[in-house]
Amino acid sequence: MKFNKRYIIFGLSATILQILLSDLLSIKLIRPDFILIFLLYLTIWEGRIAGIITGFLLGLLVDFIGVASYFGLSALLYTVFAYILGVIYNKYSKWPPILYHSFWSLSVVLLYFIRFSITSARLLDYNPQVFWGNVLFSSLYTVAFAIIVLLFLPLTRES
Amino acid sequence: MRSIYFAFLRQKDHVIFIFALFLSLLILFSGDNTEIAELRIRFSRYFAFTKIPSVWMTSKRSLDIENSDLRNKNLQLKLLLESMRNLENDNLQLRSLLDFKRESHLNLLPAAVHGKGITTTLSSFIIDVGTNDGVVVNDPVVIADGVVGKTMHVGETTSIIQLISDPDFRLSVRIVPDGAIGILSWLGNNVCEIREVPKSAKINVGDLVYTSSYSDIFPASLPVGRVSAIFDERGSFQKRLKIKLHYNIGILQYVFVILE
Repeated sequence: MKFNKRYIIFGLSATILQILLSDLLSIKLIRPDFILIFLLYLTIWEGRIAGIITGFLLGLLVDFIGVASYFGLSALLYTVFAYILGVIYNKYSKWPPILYHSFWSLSVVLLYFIRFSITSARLLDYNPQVFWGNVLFSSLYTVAFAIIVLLFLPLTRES
Repeated sequence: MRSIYFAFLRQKDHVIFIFALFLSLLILFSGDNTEIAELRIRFSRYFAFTKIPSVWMTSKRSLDIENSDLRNKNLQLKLLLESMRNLENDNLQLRSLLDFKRESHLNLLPAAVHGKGITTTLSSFIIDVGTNDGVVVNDPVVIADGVVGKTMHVGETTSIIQLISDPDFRLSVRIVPDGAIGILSWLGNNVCEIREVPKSAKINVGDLVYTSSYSDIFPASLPVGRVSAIFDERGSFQKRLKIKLHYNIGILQYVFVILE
């Protein structure tokens, strides 16, 4: 991976946004995940390895900043997310746009599905509507912010 | 050896993924490790500095002290009031004496919320009190309107609270006036669910919910919320209740820790 200073700036911005703005933007206690959006951007630009390493480290950071239970879960999820997203690295011009954008959007949904399956496993058994509501609302909220970010930032070097 | 090296180079993204996955799982399953817990507390203490500007802007120290005293008194009075309301429905004088004695002796420590984590769902707070103030693990955390959570990791000057909104949080509660007992867990959007309530219990929407006396952590009769929906499922021996908390957990800035 070629080291690029802008990733440090983007990464720091995402972390600061997450710390300062996530509470202000929270709806029904669900917050957008700016770190995930940064990871999405980094992985589709720099590939799987950069994404996995950054995802793991940022996940640890998130876990260290005050989670009470499931310490290590964010590191695990960001790692898996970057690994899955590695599939669309350099595929922007090769895949149909609908497929490309659906892939990363569904990856976000999958990430939240795994998160809620681990933290709220019982809920899926006895209250699946609430479970799926949480998964879809959380993921679509972050996807909405991701779309805004990706509108302003290029998705590939050729674009 | 050479072939292994080349195989590694060819598959390095998968190898790095497996390595990172293994490390994450290791961390996830060693969450209760004392060294890691200490590291987390230390980190959360440093992280609390990031909140200093906003804390400084929103409140002045002297006002904080005065405020916390007033809130403390307010909470004591509110608990007393809730207790009295509760007592109307029960066997009167003996309970009155016992509960009053117990609740008026709650040792409350005011604390400011210095951090709310940055995960996508709000499930923990970092507060500015710790072992130096007498806080220990599993101390109940409350506000005047109800139970907020319990201390999970305690450092010298900061503590991490597991909130009622954490999917792992469970609380034994009693529904008044019927007195039925159930287990409360979080659903989302300031709504909780109570399960394992006997079907024979006579519960109505609007009934009040308090902590039961079965908890090792929470004292009995702390307010929790109000019943907002009842589900009487056919084929089940139990009822399911939805309750609405009396407060919005997302906007809390101050809480109280009940010391032993």
